[in-house]
Amino acid sequence: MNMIKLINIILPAFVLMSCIGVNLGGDTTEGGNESKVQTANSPSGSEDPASTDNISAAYVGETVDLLPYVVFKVNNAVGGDLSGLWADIASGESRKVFSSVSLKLASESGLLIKLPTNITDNSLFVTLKGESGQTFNETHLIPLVNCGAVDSNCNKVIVEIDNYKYQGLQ
Amino acid sequence: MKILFKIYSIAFLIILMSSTVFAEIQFTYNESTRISLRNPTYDNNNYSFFALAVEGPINFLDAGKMDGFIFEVSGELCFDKDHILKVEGVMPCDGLVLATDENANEILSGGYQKGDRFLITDNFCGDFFNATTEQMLTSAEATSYTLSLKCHESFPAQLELTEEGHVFNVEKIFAFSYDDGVDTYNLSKRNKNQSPFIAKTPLNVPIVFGDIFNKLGVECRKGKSCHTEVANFILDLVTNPVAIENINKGNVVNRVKPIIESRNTDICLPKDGCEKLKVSPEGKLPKTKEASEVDGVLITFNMGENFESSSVECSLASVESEEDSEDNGNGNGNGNDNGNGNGNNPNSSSSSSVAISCGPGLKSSVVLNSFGESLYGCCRANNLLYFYEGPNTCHCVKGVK
Repeated sequence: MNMIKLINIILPAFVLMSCIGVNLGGDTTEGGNESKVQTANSPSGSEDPASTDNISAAYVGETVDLLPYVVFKVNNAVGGDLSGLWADIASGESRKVFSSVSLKLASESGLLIKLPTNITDNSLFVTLKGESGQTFNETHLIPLVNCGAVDSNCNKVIVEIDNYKYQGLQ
Repeated sequence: MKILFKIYSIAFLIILMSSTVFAEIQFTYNESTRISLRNPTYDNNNYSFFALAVEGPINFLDAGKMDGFIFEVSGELCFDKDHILKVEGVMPCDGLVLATDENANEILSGGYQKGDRFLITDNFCGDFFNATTEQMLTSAEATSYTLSLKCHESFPAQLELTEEGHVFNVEKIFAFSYDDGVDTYNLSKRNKNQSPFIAKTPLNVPIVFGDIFNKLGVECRKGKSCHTEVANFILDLVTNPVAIENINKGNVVNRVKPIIESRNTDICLPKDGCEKLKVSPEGKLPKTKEASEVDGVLITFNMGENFESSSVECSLASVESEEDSEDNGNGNGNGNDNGNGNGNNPNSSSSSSVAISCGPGLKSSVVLNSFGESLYGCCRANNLLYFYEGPNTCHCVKGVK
């Protein structure tokens, strides 16, 4: 009887943990705890790098990170289900696709995408694709103006999914 | 009570299955990163001691979970070939690993447990570059290894979360250690109050001698927003080929093209038919590189990219064509490698005045088929056309090793 009671306590706990995405394997990586925001490669609060001579002091992580990235985000203006819809992101004269993103995922959170090495300017070419077979081609300019200051739109590419695109892609 | 137990069990099983069976790739991008290291016996920002390039697709199950990657790892710089750098692999998840050397020999293939280290090379300069009489070795003499990972479906790699979002830090799949004959330095771990040993830069920015921040002109004066400033500066830099050309004019290891078409690496999504991370019935990952000996010369092929699944179109010389002036002088059929990866395939004959028109970033190349007929096709600059007699197909392959 006690065993059954125990099972009745443990099993719902397992079900609940699965529902909220608790990783039973305990597999966090590389010293990284997902819930903890790391400030690797960010300046520490007490340091005030005043010149290029001490800029390295700004890097508190294990690596000097000089990689270019953009944040890709989808604004779901229609509020519909974006499952099965994708964006191919290309660059350069050859317009080679270097990234492919589920619109559903990108609408939930901004995705950091490493930029490729064939870029000729700040243009990125986005092709929206869906099950209908219809595609929408868009050119997005990565916002670089005034990026020296804190600018919430800097480095961000935001794709708007309106009703017209949504209907066409479905 | 028994009914309740059954309901719980079934619910648990359904949730467990849904988290594994239905995990699909939601996001992918091509990595193209240079990892450069500084000399640990000095405390400076001169990241021109060793460097390697990592290129290839990374797949993610969601913003914070990585499923796998297919990397080509190639030498970029060895400042002095007498220096010994050891490189090990340290994967961020349980799963399957495939690592092959420059001749497509397996270093490791099969199951892997997160955190285990495996040796990639105990002498980076000796293994990642072709021997020359020069002390300093650059990408002109470089060879490449492959490194593929497929995480176990239930245990994808969790990414680090930074202020900007989830980040995959490619340098952390390697463990670097340097032996100067007296001490051994662990370069993957930063020494307190010293600059990090590792720097990451894009491949289209040259490796600079001296302070990396000064030489690249990175400035930062705003304290807490310093990281944002640096990131924006780099973004500004790589989107401006003229600015990169100006850095090229400075004290650099060797000039780089400000606009680099990636190798023949394509993103790899199972939904689009890519099977390069599909586990075989034997529980292994498919090879991404294969080597074949032709007339006593070893040629390496990139499987699935420019060999098996994506042979290139080639046609007989009689096909109407136009001059491609860029191609002239590329091949003389003597098997020489000019040091830039434009080595001549022994099966390739010289470029004649007849050449088909190729798209941007491609050059025309010619090869003889088994009947001695000239076939023309288009390959990227560092590849040459190769005729594979078995399936009678043309392929773009890297230069003769």
